[in-house]
Amino acid sequence: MTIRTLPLWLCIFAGVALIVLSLCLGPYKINWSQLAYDIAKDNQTIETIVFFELRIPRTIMCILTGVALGTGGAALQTLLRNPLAEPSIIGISSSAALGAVLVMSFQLHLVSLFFMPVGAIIFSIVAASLLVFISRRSHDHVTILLVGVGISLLSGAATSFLLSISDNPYAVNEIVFWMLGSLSNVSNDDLLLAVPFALSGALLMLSTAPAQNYFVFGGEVAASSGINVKTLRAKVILGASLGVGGVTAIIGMVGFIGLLSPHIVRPFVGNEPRRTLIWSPVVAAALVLAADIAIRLLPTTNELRLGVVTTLIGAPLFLYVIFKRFGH
Amino acid sequence: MDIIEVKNLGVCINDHVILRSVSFVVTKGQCVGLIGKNGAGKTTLLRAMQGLSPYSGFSNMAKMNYEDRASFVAWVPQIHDIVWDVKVKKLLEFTARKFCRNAAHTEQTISASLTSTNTVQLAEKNLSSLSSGELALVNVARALCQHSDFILMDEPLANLDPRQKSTLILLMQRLARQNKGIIFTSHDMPAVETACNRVIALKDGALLFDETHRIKFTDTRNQEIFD
Amino acid sequence: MGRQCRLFIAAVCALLFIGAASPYAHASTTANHAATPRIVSTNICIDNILIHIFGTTHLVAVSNLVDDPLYSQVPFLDPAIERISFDAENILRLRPSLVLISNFSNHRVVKMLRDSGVTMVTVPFATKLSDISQNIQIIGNAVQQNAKAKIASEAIRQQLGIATPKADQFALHVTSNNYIYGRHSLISDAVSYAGLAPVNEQGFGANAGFYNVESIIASNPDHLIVDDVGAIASPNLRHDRYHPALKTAFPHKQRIKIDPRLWSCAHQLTPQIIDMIKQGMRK
Repeated sequence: MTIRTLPLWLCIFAGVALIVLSLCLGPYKINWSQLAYDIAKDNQTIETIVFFELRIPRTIMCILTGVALGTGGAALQTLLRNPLAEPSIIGISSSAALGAVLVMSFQLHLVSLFFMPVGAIIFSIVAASLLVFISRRSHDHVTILLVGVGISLLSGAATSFLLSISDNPYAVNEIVFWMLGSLSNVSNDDLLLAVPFALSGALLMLSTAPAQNYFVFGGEVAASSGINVKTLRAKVILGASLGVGGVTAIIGMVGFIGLLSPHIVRPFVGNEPRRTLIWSPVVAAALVLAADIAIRLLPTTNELRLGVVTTLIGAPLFLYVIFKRFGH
Repeated sequence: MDIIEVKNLGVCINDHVILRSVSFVVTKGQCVGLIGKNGAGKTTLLRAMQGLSPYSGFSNMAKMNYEDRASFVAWVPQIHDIVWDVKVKKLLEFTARKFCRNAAHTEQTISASLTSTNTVQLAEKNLSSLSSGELALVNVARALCQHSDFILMDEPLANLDPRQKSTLILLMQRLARQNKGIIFTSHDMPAVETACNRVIALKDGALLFDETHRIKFTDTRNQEIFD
Repeated sequence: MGRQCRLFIAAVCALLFIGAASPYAHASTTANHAATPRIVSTNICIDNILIHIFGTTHLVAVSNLVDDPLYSQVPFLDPAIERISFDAENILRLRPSLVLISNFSNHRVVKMLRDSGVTMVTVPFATKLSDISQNIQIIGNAVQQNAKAKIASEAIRQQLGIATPKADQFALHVTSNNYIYGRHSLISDAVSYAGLAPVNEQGFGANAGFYNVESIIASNPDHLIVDDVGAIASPNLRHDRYHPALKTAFPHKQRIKIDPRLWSCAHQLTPQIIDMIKQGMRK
């Protein structure tokens, strides 16, 4: 099924609207004329603090999260030839979380926050490499997902183990909440940490876009069409790990964005892998912005966690896709 | 590079020898049928020759870099499932754009590929809506867009109905006359008899015979190959 | 019998031997030490009061957090005193004559200890400053140092004194990872004693939990009470993880810094917070 392409102006308008909403919504009611005045006069007031140190980093982090996870999902789906692959389902997100929890357990994050994304990325690379290695030996779609589930379970078990041997109930509490995934309280310092990794990961994966279309009939046909498949695999593994690791280290585990965005994009681009990879991060960024806006609009005392919301919406959709694809 | 050369090619997986010391040279203009019973090593040979799986010995194709090999040989494996459901014409465009000089050449190439495989009517259809025979022909059409000197095909005749078979056989003969080299595996002896001007037979991973004239598959011959 | 079978039996025998030889496997056959008290304290908050006021006589084991500078008021405790987690078998091994537990201790372990005949005294987790005197009494009675307990708890009562008349100002405490302890906590009680409101008119800050920095700023507290993490002596670790926006929105003068060890557990030094808050207000 191919849907007529949406006009570009509509897409741009929707994107800008989401960004504006994200900048405008929050518990603190910003006086916009006051803010404009303060910016002009270079004054530091509550308005400018809330806008520049809370709203803007949060909005940028939403976009960055979408870009990293959306690109990761699309690239992994093409590489693994599996439309159900995405970082959280196949264990890359939980491995990244394990890396970060390991860093927190040894209090390395108090020595330098830099250890968080590094720890997360190392563990994602291990998980992603394992998956790609196994995918080369097996052509069965379900096997890959099962291996991914296995990796996810293993990472989850290791994380639980770390939490269970911790003496400190306060640290455990904090880690448990962190793992649920949240964009709340992202600061500019967090962005400085996340942006280099996440952006380089996304760009690395996007560099494989021209080659993606040759994978329609699989890796062998792609190799025969002149694509250096080994390099492409390495780029996708490294790129996905950098992107997912960099983002997970800051905001915890957020799942299903990488699954949903390629599925949303495909009908608009005739299922073409290259264009799916290019547009997936855009749609994913919009999804994350929309989810975060929804969270801010919901009247709960403690803000809902983004990871919880995306899983509650994404998991039923995942089941639906399985049913449609494999159910008959 | 005008020839495919394979010398003492061997493949061994988990201490199990699948191919043992196969050697031959294929030139342009030859349409080679690679035959043998199931498990004889035909598909393994085609894949090992291209360096798609580990091997011992020598294969000139496997030594090439990706780009040069793509212009030299196109690979048409059996396609078992469709994951990315693109339109047929789009699929051909992906390949044609890479190997053609300009937009006009691309259009011409796609059109010629569809015509020669008799799949023009499938151009706007999605891959998932094709029958297995139509899919196989589309795969061949895709390979044609590569403008390569040689085409390697794994069981291209397997799912084709009689009309599609005769289209493909005629195509292979025409390509050989146009000085392209074809190697394909098949169990269809009459088709191999008609299409090929050379036959290589494998048995238990080793070369049984290699004959460069039209051959007839008598009962004795068949027994020799398939028992 | 096959080779694999013999290997299996050998492995099982080896495991049994190791288990039998393990020091943990033997029930004690020595005489009952009931004559000498053996006190086990299982919670850092109890450890703090017990050791500071009543000393370490007869103290056999304390909680694991006693060596953690973030929570412990007694970080240089005699290494001969065991550090344990709240585990039934571990505690029973020590043959305690008295186990001090909190009302949040794992109820399954508590039941097992009770069923084993262990004497336990519950020291409730303090949520009000007035609970401190009470807890000092409870612990004092349990370790049979009633005189000391009376003096110490009376001193607390005097320190608390008369509550200051309420001003119309809102003071909010936030930890560096944006956790607010809520209305029913020691820090909120201290804020009330200092004459401030721990919860604003809209009820912000009443519930415990992790909060959004923006909502903290939007609640517009007159004073922001933060953890003085500089007081904690660990030079390589960055404990100050306060969001830059909080620090900018509440510049140094508007922040009241309190050493979190003063109130993360309720002990004899906790009432000092009231004066520290009052001093901070005057800045």
